[in-house]
Amino acid sequence: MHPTAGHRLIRLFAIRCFFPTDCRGFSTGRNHPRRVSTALPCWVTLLVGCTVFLSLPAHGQNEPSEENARALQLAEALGDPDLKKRRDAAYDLASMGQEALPALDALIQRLGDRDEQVWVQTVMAIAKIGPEAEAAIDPLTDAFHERSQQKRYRAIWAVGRIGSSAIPKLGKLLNDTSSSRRSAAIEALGWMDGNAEQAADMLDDLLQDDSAEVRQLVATSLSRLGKVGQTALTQALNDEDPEVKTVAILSLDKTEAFSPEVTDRLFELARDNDPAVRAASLIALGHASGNRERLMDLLLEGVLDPESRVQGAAAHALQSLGDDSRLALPALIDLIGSEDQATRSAAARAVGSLGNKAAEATDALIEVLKKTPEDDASITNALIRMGPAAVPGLLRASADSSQSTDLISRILTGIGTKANAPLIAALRSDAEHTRVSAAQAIAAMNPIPSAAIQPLQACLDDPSVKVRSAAISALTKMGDAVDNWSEQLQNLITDTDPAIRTAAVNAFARQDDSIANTRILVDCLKDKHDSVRVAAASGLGLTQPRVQLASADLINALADPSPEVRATVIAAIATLGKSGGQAAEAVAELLNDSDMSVRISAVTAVGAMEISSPEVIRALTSLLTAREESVLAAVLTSLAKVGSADRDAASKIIPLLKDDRSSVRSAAIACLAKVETDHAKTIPLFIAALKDADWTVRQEATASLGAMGSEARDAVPVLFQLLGSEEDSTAVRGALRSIDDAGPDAVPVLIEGLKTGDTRRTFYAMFLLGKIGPAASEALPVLKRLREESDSRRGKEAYSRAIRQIESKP
Amino acid sequence: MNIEKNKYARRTVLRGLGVSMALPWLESLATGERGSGIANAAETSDNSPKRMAFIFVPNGVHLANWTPRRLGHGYDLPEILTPLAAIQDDLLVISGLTHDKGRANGDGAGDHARSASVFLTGAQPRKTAGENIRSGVSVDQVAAQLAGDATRFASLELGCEAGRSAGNCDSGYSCAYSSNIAWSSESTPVGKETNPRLVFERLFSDTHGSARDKQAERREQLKMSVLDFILEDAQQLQKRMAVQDKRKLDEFLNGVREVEQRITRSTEHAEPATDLDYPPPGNTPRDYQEHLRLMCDMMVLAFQTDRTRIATCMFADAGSNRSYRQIDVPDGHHGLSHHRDDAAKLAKISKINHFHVAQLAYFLEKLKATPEGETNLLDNSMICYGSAISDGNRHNNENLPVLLAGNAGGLIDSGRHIRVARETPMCNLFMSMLDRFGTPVDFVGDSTGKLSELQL
Repeated sequence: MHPTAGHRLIRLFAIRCFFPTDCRGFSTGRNHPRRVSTALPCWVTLLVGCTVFLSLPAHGQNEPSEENARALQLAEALGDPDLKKRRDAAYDLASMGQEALPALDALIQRLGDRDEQVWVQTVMAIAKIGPEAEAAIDPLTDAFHERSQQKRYRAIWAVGRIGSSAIPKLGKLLNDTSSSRRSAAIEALGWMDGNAEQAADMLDDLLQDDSAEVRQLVATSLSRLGKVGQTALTQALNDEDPEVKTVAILSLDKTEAFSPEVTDRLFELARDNDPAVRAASLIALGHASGNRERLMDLLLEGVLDPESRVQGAAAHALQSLGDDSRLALPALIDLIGSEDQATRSAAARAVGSLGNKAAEATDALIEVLKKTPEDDASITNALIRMGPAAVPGLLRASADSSQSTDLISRILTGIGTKANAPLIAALRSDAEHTRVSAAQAIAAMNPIPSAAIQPLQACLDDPSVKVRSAAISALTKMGDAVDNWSEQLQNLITDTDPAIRTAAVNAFARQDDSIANTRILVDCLKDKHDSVRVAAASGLGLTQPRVQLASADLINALADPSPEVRATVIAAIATLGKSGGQAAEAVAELLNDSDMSVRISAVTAVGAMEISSPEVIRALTSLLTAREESVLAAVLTSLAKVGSADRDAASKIIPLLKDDRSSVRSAAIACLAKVETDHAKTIPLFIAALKDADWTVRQEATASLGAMGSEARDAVPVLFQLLGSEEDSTAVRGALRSIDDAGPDAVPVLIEGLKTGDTRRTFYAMFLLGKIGPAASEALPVLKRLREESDSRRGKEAYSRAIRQIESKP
Repeated sequence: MNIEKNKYARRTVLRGLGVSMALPWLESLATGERGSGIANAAETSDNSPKRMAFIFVPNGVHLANWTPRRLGHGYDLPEILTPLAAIQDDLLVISGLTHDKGRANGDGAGDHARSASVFLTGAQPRKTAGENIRSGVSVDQVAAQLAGDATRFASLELGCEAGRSAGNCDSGYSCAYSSNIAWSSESTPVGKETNPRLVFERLFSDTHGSARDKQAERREQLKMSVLDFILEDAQQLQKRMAVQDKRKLDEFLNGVREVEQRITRSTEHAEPATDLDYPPPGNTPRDYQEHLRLMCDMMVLAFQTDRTRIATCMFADAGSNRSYRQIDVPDGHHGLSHHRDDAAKLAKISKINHFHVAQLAYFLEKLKATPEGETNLLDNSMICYGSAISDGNRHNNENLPVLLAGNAGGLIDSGRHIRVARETPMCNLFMSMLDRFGTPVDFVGDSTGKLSELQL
């Protein structure tokens, strides 16, 4: 039997006063202060509501309120076969809070809905009704065995929100044969914040359950009940099962419930037989404020524990003691060598937290770095945190050639400017590796300290190639700040070591474009070593004036025995572009080079230089049969620039439109669009490409068709279909605007477009139908109807414009 | 003298004509001036407020160059994460989180719009391009609604692309979904601000609306800084401060000035826009990197002065096809994200991801370099960075790229790479963050619990 609307109103008011909840799209945590403030106005509302109710005329009692009517309407929509309508109704009911009560029966029925959104929102709506949703308890507990975590979680939560009336049912479920239902009942009790004491009592009893698993779950639920659960949790610290004890410790830690009784018990448990209990206790004690001296003794004991996880927990907790943890430094240094990575990391972090007070740990940390095949972030970070105190040790370590100087440099860079002074001093060390590490670390700095300039310049005479290379790299970064840098580089270009010469040429290439400097680079093209010649060619190619000055020498260098040099020289010459002259011919000859990298470089260059001689085009088209993607990409790019000079080029490109690689198909379309000037031949091909499975190909075809303007009007029907595609939409819009026209064949598609209800499609359809003019008269009824229905002035105007264009005389 | 205690956040505030500048936490102001009317004694380094920020990047990432190989402490930094080397110990790299409601779940295409909408809400957006949009309340707004009254602004919503707020942006999904990550109710996205100058004005102006605009205009005409207006207050305050705090205050004011000048420079001497599809929103920096960094600076200033404790920032809108010419990637980001395992495209995506992470590093390093009591801003923050799409090519929503920086005042054991169980909802991370922020809730979005892995 249903209560009358009037009675429901009173119940709703009463519920609001006793169980204030909000109707937002999330559920707030319990005991929030705002809850309290919402209750008082409710009492006032209740009094007013009662007064109003009592003064209502008798016939008014049977008339549903506006909210009731809405809830009932939504309840009906909940059963609609249309999924969208069901979803909307469920969301709306979920946002009504207790006002959704009239829809409770329908909501309960919807707990069988297969759509997750409907189901979840239905549960939300029931939960927000609160205690009045008692009738939903049974169907909700049926969902306790749901496989979907999402559904199970929501069902458990909702039962918790319904509150005390669910307690008898939950009590029964606690004895259920299904462990999942028992677990769910325990979890639901954890959500009973409105009946926390009753729930805590029931959970407390379960702490005596035979199953340790149940007791663990009970401890977790108790932690949710806040202070009410703390007494029971404190008792759980005495449980015989170590896992229950661990969960209880972690729960108390989470709520920061560290009464003297709990703290004392934690000190005891830190010596428990079970390592997990000991570790959890140490971590919790690290968070509890209390007797630091007593804790220090315990933690010192912890780092010596035989179990690595206890050692790690002790090291972790030591960080809470700040500088006092220095007492444990020797033990922590031992732990840094632990086989267990977690322990090692915890120890390193504890050491790192001591900063420069842990300098004596440097060697131990570096020792671990040497042993680990890859760098260990916690170790490197500990060294970085130690700051300049770690620098001498790091540089000492670099004397060992097995240690990565890169890693040492990274740590030194991490220490930052504080490392400057010891690093600069290290440039004068007797040990080569120390000097290398210092120079590399300085080179990696940004900015490099000016105090390092002189010592770095001194390093240019260092007997070690690595030191000299690092010094060149550092000084090059400092540019103008280094006096006579250009002269010094000129000397280094004649160094006996090719690595130094290469570094010097690379640095020298950053100097100005003067004739003298260009000559120096040209001379380096004759160096005995390949890498120096590559650096010289690359340096010459940096600016066009240099290439022009050195063109004769660069042409000669095209005959270099090294393919890498030849490819670099070609790239340098290509910077001349169309003005390549004699150099262009020389480059073209290398299209048939024996080395593929040289051929690709030549193919790219002939395109950049726009060399369109028949020989070049023949050579390029012959490469269209190549299988390598990189070769084809380069050839198609170059042919796009020069291929239109050859009538047959297009016919050789067309087969590539069917290549199995989308990148090749895309490049072929782009090339064909440039090479074939007869659009009548390419339009059908590009329209076919609009149906390619790969959107990058479709995009290229779309752009090519758009570039043809109204000539490509036959493509409009297909393009219009693509307008709804996420990937194609932007390019298609551009193309449709460029084509700016559509043939009569497009009319049916465009009329369909008008009916989609999608603003963008409607706009383009209307725009293009208008452009078609009288031949689009078939669209007039739809356009006129849409004009009528449009509630926007601009919309009406746009429809009118299209209609006018269609109705104009042919 | 106008110095007064800020009613919102117990911060000392310097005032001038139309300008109010809350100061960062300074010891002298906390303990040395009790009873003088300028104390902010209620705050100490021990009870520093917690901050939360969420940064969204579109189109997923190249996961192979994102995910560390090693778990736990001592994790390696793959290529994309290398800009974070200096703050690796302050990071939690979280692998395995899922945004199930970013999936179609029967709604068809529109993964990009869904990815932004679901990022902080965990709710399936209603597929519509009309006004009847519906998503869920985002985690930042959950926190803002529960704790936002502690500061002048409940939250700050920032972005660098002024996306449309209506119309169809992605296969039938409203642009409101693509352009917003903050939702104050199921049907109300919180519009983001893309103009750093306006954010700056909001932070340091004590007037509203047109009055604020006029003040700003006047300052601009006179080429004056906000600092010129509070100079007198600042000088008087400095007389009463310890030497060390005087230096800190100087540093803070210089920092504010530097940001103000950069805003002016970035808009006055702007280079012409290079990306016609993604022109910078009106009066915003032309240089995208500078734009991002200024927005990060705004978050730092807002947190430092306790104007707000909650912020969101969209580095770019969902499905953004912006090009990144500044790092030699002229191709559109979205286009590249459909890489089909093409090595060249993947390399470019890595570069874009690396670029975004470098801006994050800039933000985090600034937070870390901002002292707060005995710690720093980063230590008291939780900065969540990520995307709701994992791989841009597959458009998948599991194993999302997510970083959590900062340790919420010691409540997160950072410096680790953790992998959570398959299909763990991203919202479970939000639940844990809300707990640590002091605004626990029963659930948010599709959460099914909390992440136990944040602490050892």
